[in-house]
Amino acid sequence: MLADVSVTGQGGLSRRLTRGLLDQVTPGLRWAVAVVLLGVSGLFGGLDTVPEPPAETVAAGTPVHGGPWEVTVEAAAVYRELGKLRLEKETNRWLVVTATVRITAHESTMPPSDLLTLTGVAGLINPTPAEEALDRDKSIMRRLQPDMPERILFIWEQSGDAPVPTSITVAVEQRTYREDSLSGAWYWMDVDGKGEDEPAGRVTVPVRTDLAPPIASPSPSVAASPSTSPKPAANRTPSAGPTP
Amino acid sequence: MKLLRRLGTAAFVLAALAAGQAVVSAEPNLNHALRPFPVAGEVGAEVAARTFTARVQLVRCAAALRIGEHVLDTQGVWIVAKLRVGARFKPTSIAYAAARDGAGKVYQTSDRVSLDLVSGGLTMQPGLPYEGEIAIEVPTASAGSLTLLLADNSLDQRMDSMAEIRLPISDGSACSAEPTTLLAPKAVS
Repeated sequence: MLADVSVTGQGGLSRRLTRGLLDQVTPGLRWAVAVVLLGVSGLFGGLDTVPEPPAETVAAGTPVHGGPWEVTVEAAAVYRELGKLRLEKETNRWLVVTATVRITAHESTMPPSDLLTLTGVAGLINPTPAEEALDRDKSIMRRLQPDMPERILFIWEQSGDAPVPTSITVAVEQRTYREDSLSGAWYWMDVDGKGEDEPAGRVTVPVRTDLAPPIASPSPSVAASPSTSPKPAANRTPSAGPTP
Repeated sequence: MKLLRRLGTAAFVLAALAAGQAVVSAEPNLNHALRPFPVAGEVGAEVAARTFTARVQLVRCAAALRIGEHVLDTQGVWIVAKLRVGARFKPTSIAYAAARDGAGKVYQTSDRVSLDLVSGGLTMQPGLPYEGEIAIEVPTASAGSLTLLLADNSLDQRMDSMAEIRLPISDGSACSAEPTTLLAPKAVS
């Protein structure tokens, strides 16, 4: 189209000259136009990093898919005593979130300590749970198996000076299966590589305060690893190994 | 003529890009390219991996394990395999044991129970084999299509041999309802 435009409007020579000039100029002109368009776009935020959409907030009992796991937060409760777990201060309290975790990855997975985080709760002694235990026998949660959902007790310690929450919001961590830029292998990793991902979802759950402690009296015949201390201990896993 | 030359160049570039993409897509990803080297065997036969030998002697399944005074239940079933294992050329340990089902899902030995035989806790000397039992919890529906996987590295099994032994359990729903016990590892001559 451009090549047909004559500068002088006279004769074939001028038309050929014009076409030749445009052939020379056009490739550079295209780049110039592209750069100008990008610049203009950038001025209006076109080159800004697009923030992830905020995670959806769902009700208790709704499964949240976080990549290699699916978490269904079911309940939350506050306890003054919890079996043989010891509070840092006697005036503190335990905040227990019950959730069912199903591994959706194709192999056994050990969920991270920050699988669940609480928002809007004042006075947490530590942002990660002090204890994560299987509800079935109160043993420490470690490796979970694919497609074998486990109900887990996530236990935080809250300062007794902070108010007891009436409801809490639980954020479910997520991972994505992607290529490691260093090794080229594929792993479940943070989505952005910085650990600053939006959670897979948030769950709002009311907090009950009138319940009997769930692990106050574990039955010796059922409890595989009686909860004897706040941290995992070597003697909490039954051994099939030789006696030293 | 010039236009034809440009079209030809563009077609050549596109063809080169397509060929490159085809080469890259030939392997699913690097994990697949670096997968372990399987050494397959059957129950009752000795399988020789790079650093160890393994033989599955017996297989059974149960709804629960009894370890001392503890009873470990599961929402699936426990697969219990009696193994005879040994080091080949130098002191070594088996630090990875899992069961893979027909759908490709991999269930590692549970850390609800300590299994020295396959958790790296037992260093075997060449010529001094050990026998003992291990347990893996799997969904009931997967019990009929399992292959036992054994390797000497707990963290990274890539580019090394892995023993793969088919476990002849026909029906997970027919497993014993009674808790079963595990034989602790012991040296055999």
